[in-house]
Amino acid sequence: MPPAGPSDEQLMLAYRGGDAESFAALYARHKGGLFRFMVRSIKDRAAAEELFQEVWMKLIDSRSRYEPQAKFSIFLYTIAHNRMIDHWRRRGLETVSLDEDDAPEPRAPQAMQPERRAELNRTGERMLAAIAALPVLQREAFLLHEESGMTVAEIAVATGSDPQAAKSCLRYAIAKLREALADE
Amino acid sequence: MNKKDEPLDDVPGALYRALPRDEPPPAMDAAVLAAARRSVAKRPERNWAIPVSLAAVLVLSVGVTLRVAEERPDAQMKPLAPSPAAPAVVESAAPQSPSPAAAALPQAKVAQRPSAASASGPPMNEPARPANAPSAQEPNVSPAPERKEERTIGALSARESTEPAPFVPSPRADSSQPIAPAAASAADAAATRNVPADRPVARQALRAAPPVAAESGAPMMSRSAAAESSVAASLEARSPEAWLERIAEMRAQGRHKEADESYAEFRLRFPGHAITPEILRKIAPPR
Repeated sequence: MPPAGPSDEQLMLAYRGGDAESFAALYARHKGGLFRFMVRSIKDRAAAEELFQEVWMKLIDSRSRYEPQAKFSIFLYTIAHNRMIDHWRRRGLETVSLDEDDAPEPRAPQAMQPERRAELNRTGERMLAAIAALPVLQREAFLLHEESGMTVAEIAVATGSDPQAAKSCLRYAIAKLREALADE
Repeated sequence: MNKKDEPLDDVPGALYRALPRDEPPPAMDAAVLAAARRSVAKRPERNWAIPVSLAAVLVLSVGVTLRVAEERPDAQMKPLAPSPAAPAVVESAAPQSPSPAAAALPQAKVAQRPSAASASGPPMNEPARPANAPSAQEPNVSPAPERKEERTIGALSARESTEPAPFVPSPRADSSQPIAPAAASAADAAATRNVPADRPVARQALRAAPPVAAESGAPMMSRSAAAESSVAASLEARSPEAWLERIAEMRAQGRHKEADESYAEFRLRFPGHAITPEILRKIAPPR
């Protein structure tokens, strides 16, 4: 459900024109979703907080060049996606291929090992563990879908992937999560 | 092919949305919002620097232009001389010292008075004032409180002036007596104060000036400036010899008073000009 009042794009244009209060409204709308998206994608909370701040700083720096060619959320999460890619590259990590056929089988998360299942007695924790166990791109697609409400096509744009691949990522992610939760 | 068109299995989604809603720490919120405000605060400086600079240059340019336009007529002011209708006859070669006849000619009496120009900035009549004609040489200055006012360009200009009523030299009824032209030039007098009706210098100024309709909607300063420019231009075109010839004509026509005043103006304008005995005889007052 779209937020009441000016759209994200109108707020960003107002901020481009010098209205700091518009930015505050925009930040209030998106800070939670973006923060959770990054914390749950990266899993390292300190690094996620740092990247979260970098994303907003990047947005602030690029405000004069902002043009509402797409939804603001796509613009924002594209910045976040690129920051995370840079982060993984710095850490020597690689994302899996978008081609699902080439994607490696997800390793059973440690949280899902039988000896730890007893510890995950709460659904929320199990859910978080299942998300953390997803491949990077599937996890990203699921989080984008849940946190920003993006469609498959929008996820494809934000992640720079093919729509079909994005759709596959999302479907696989949901299927694996359902399976992980059903295991209990 | 989106969330609405093709519903996915929403069980994981519902469970996910039931998770605690983590938020960034308040310190991070404050840091981001402060950065956003700082970025916006810098913007007006860049945006206003160029327009303000352009506006300042424009204002200064207009101010200087107006100032120059106001002062230009003043810089061209010259002392008033007789009507430019005199024939252009040139006398040549003259003795360096004036003859007794020339010495007998009346000396000019200069009205020592504050001028409007000195009150309003650079002295507008300074270029026309002879260097060796200080006001101390003309002590016979008297106020003329009962003078009849003449509605002239000078009077029009005088109404605009805020300075007090000036001194006006007393004219002599006798044409053989020294006259009292304004050393600072009749143009100055015409432009800045009320001039007596019987004062030839003022009449000459009026003759030299273009006709001005009092009912005209043009600004008074513009009319005054136009008259002064015309007077200055006519004076510039006059050579000393032609001026003397004109004085001689006045003598021949019996206009001795006018001739005396014109000669006094001539001496103020050309104090070192040598006059031949022949011309002196023509311009000397009758005995």
